[in-house]
Formats: sequence, structure tokens, C-alpha cells
Amino acid sequence: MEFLLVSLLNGLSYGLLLFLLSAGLTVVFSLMGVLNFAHASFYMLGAYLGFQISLWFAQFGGFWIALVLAPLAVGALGMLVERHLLRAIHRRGQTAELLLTFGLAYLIAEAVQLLWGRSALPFHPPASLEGALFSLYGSAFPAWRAFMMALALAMLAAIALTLRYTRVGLIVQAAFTHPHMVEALGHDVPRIFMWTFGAGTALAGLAGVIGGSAFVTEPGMAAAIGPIVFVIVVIGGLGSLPGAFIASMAVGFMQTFAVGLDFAVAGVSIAQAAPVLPFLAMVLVLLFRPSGLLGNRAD
Amino acid sequence: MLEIRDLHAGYGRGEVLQGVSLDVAPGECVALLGRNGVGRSTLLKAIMGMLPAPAGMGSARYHGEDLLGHATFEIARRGIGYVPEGREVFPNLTVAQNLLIGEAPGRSANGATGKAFDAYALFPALDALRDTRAGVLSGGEQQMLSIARALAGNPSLLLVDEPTEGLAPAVVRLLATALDSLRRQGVAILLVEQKMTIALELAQRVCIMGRGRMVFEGSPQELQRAESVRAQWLGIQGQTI
Repeated sequence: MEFLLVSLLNGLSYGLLLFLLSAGLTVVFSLMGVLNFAHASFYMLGAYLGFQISLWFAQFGGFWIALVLAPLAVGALGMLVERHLLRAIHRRGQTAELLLTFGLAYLIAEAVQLLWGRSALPFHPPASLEGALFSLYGSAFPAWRAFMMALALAMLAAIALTLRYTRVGLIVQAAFTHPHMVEALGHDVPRIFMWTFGAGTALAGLAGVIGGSAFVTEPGMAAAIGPIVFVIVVIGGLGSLPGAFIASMAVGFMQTFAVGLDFAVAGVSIAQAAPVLPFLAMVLVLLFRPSGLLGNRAD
Repeated sequence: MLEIRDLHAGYGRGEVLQGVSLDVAPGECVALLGRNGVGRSTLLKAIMGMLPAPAGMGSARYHGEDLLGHATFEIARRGIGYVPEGREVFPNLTVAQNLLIGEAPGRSANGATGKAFDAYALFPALDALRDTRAGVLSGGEQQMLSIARALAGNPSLLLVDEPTEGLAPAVVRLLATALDSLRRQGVAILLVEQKMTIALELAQRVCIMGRGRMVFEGSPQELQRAESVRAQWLGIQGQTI
């Protein structure tokens, strides 16, 4: 019971963090048809910029300033990438766009190592969030995890409400299915693409500040989480926001529960197999439901 | 107000439009006829700047301003409404939301008609469907919505591509009445239409396209008399239209 509840809470908070990351990736894909290989690199950039900004503003509650400024900076960079790189090669098709984001991922990884070095940075949650929020059967639930969950939920609610109830949200929804028609009605669709790309990368940046301080900030962090995010987007169905949510939760729970379980199958303990489980799930989904859980693409 | 001169355009491989010239005057309905595949829909897309390849030679002007080379949204904002073939309503949004998106920024609040457009006055059938998802509407209702959505931005020129395709006669009649009343209120219409009777009833001028250029231009009465034109370019022989 104790194990169940603690794992549930941990899985929930990890799943929400994953969704902050996969939401941007899947929205950008369904709107623009661009599968952004550099998405996890923007996550990493969020962590590094978050660290740097919290150093600069250390006297003024640096972390909280970083939590606001780092995602904005990453989002602005994302907008520049869309405006000046992706848009320029859009006419050449998806392969060119894919290669561009692929190259960008390497570029960001190198840049990060040049500026901050190869070792992990001492980036931690602020002191005010260290310590337990409450205890369950003797095991403490960190206040930091609770904050992470609340923040992710608030961001997601903001996205959902924006998409559903604002004019801009409706225009973005319409552009999911009929971008050319939306533009023929007088809407600046290229600019909508740029802002959407920026919003997606800003969310990745926010996830980076949270994830980087909670877990680790080092040059390998993009390569570590990138594949997981792709797995989530594929399991949920490329382009489906609700699908990405379900898959994020599933992968979050899968990994936290598996790490805590100690029984073995064929000599391999479940805990040892935990990192492989999401990929196994992806293979199964691709075998039995190639469009993903909630994907609606016919092919 | 719309002047197209010797326009060459297409989809990259091969020119579909090979020197099209066409005029639409304010408050006028021009019907664009021709067999399938002669480039009528392509012409509308070229006007809207929606072709993937840039136009070759020629010019397209609206109120004296060049359209070619401008982005689709800029062209729309100058006061041209587009009702595409196949309606292209936003299926996951409601009727009211579809209309809201039609009210684009930068388009004049009251264009040709001089007052804000009321979709539900033009198409009362849409009134009861305000909160219905557009994807579940009938073909006729979707067509009404598509026209109303384009009108929500108060264009002074409406490009309408095959509005009656696949619809029942009663709905066709309703749409024809609506388009005619729009024209009487001062909205110019460039109409691509397969149904000859509707085209001749609505239009003051008829243009026939064949092989990427105009092969006939005249009044509906002149077309009635020009039997050889009808036979050669529309495939209609003998019968009165």
C-alpha cells in the first residue's frame, strides 16, 4: 500500500513532466508536419539557461526568476529557428526539415559543452522547496515534487483553455486540419506557426528548468530524454494531444513502478528492465495499433 | 476591380494557366465555365496566391494593386473571400466558431454591403445549428457555412468554386437565391459552376475556359446563340440551355 501510493505520486509527477515535453512536440507536428528532433535539446537549453539565470540573480530569489525567464528565452530562440531556418527550407519538404532539426540537436549539444563544460552542473531546487510536504507511511513526499506537479497541471490547463476558449486557440485548432483555408480567411498562418513553435519550445524549456534542477543538468540530458519523448508521441498517436497525455502518464508510471518492484523474469529483474519498458511498449503499439492509441491517421 | 492579364501559372510541373485574361467589375457576377480540368479552380487558387509555385508571366490586379507574389492572407485581407471546392469547413469546430474564424483581423468591418454581415439572416438554417460541429452537417449546410464564413470578413469580391456540386435541387435553389441576393447587395462574385442553368441565371457575364485560356466571353444571351462555342468547349449540342 505504501509502495503503491508513493510510486503513484512519483509516477504522476514524472508523467506530468514528460507531458510538458511531449505536448510541444506533438502540437508542432500536427500543425506544421515537422517532427522536431531538437525538441529535447530545447529542454536541455532550458536547464542550462535556468542554471545560469539563477546564478546571475542569486540575490533576488534566482531560481524563481529563472523559472520565468529561461522558458521565455528558449521560446524566443525557438521562434527564431522557425522563422529563419525551418521556414526557409519548408518548400523542400519534410526530409530537409527533419535533417535541419537533427543538425540543430548536435549544434545545441556542442554549444552547451563549449559554454558550460562537460560535467554536471550544481543546479538544485530552491531551499524553500526542499524538505517534505507530507509523509505517507513514513516515507516523505518532497515539496518539490508537489510543486512540479502543480506547475505542470497549471500549464496544461492554460493550454487547454487557450485552445478551447480563445479566438487564437480556435484558429490554431482550425489550422490543424485546414491551414490553407485558415490563411485564405485572412489569418497570418506563418506567424501562427512561428508562435506555436515558440510556445512548444518554451514548454520544453520550462520542463528543462524543472527537470534539470530536480534530476541532473549535464550535456547528455537531451540524448537521455529525447528518445522517451518520441516514444510517448508515437504511443499516443502522432499529433494527438490527449494521446500524448495518456502515454506520458503511462510511461511515467511504468518507469517509477518498475524501478520499485523487485521480482525477476528469466533472470532479469523488472527494475533492471525499467529503461527498456517504454520502447517495448512502443514496439507493441506499433505492431497492434500503428496509428498510436489516439492517432487518427489512416496510414 | 479584378483585372487578370495573360496569366501563366500552375503547380510547378507544367503550366495549367497559359495566358488567362479576365475582368470582374464591382457588383458583378461572372460565371466561369468549361470542362473539368481546364484550370478554373487553378485560376481561383492563383488569384488567392495558393499555388505552390509562383506565377510565371502575366499580372493579376485588385483595385489596381498587384496580387502576384503576395501571401494568401494578405490577398484575403484586401477584401477577397474564397469558398473552396469541397467546402473545407473546420470539422471539429462548431458553426459559430467557424464563422468567428471568418472574421479575420485586418479585413474591413463593413465592406461592399456597408453593414456588418449577418450569416444567420442569409442562411436561417444555420441558426439552429450554431453549436453543432461542422463535421456532422449535411453537404448543403456545410456549403452554406463555407459561404457564410467567407462573407464574415465582408469581402467585396467572392470567389466561389463549385458550390452546388453533389447537392439536392432544393438546396441548389436556396444557394442560388442567396448568391443572387449577395450580388444585389453589391458583392462581386466570380463563380465556377458546373450547372449551366444556375450559372446563366446568376451571371451577367460568362467566360469559358479551354486548355488554360479564355475561349469565350459574353452575356448569357450571347452564349445561348453561340452554338458552336458550346459544342466545342462545353460539349453541349443542340439543346437549349
